[in-house]
Amino acid sequence: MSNSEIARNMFLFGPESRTDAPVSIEAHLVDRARAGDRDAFDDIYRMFAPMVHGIVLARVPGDDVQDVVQEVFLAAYNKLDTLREKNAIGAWLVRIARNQAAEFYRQAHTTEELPDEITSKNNPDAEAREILAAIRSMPEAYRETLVLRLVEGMTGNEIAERTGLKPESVRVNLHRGMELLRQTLGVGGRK
Amino acid sequence: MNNEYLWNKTGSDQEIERLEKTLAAFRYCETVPPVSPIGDKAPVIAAGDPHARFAWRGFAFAASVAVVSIASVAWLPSTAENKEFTNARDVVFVSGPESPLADVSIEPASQDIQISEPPARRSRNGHGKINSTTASAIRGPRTKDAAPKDSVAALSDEERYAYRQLMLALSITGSKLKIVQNTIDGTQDIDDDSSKNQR
Repeated sequence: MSNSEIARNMFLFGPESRTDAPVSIEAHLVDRARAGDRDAFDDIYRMFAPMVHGIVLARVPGDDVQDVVQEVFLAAYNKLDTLREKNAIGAWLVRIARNQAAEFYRQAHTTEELPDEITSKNNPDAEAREILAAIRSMPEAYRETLVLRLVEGMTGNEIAERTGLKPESVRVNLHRGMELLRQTLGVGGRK
Repeated sequence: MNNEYLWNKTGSDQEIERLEKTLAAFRYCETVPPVSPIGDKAPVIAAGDPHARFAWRGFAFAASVAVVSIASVAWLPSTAENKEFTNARDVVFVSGPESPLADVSIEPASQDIQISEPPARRSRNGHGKINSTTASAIRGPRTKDAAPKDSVAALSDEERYAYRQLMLALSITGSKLKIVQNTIDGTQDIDDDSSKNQR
């Protein structure tokens, strides 16, 4: 199944239609993956990897994010049989991602600040790191939502659908988080 | 700030667009799924079991030996047009397996031969010796060892060369098969050496 097909199916099974349809595409994929279908787990990975990446990026240094994402899906694969609500696999993956990020710091990973000459204003990544650091300093609900929106490029509906949050909550978190980010970076963002 | 753009990317907001563009460096890049999933569990062979890993080579050797043997059986009669050769081969099969008196030491027909049987059996029969004609009548003519030589001698030069090559190939294959079997069983040639020494 291609990414476009996955995305199309995701929109077909939005929050409103999820109550009408007894089996969502996520639940169908979970059933197939439990039955040993490799492609089904690959589809789950492609569908939720950007969301998991955003959740981890909101907590873990950039160089280690991909490793933690892999560990999240490895843990998910090993615990797939313990998932009770198949339609809520997105929220389940969010919890695993948060736990894996916490585990990352429990394993005594140390980070060192880069020298000033490397983090100069002329470095195009320096501004991005500064903005990301500002987002990471926010409360959890805001930083996750902002990373998913600004970094991963997901819309509010997609964030709500894949994380299992209510759309109203996502809307509020986006609005308040964006206001807080503007205050942190200065009105209108960095000039 | 355009809330509609923040929510579903409709409309335009330069500030948010600039943030998106700047933070795009951290965006997820598609990678291969981390697990090798569920369907790949069966064909795994334990890495620490070299016997199981190389067992197919033993089967390959055995299969090749079987093919060579079948080919030789099918090929030899068709190439041996000489009638003496076929008669000699018949003699080999007529003589059959070794009789119970195989350990009788054969001597010239005019002499008596000694039977290497347990003493109890000899005393029961009441005869310590038997006539060589009786032994030869039981055993039949001793033509088994001579038959292959005669059959080979009856072949043409080309057939004799092919026969020797075939025997050599079978010998080499058999020895290699034995090495493979010893490797699989974990035994060494030391066993053979020790048994030779015992003899």
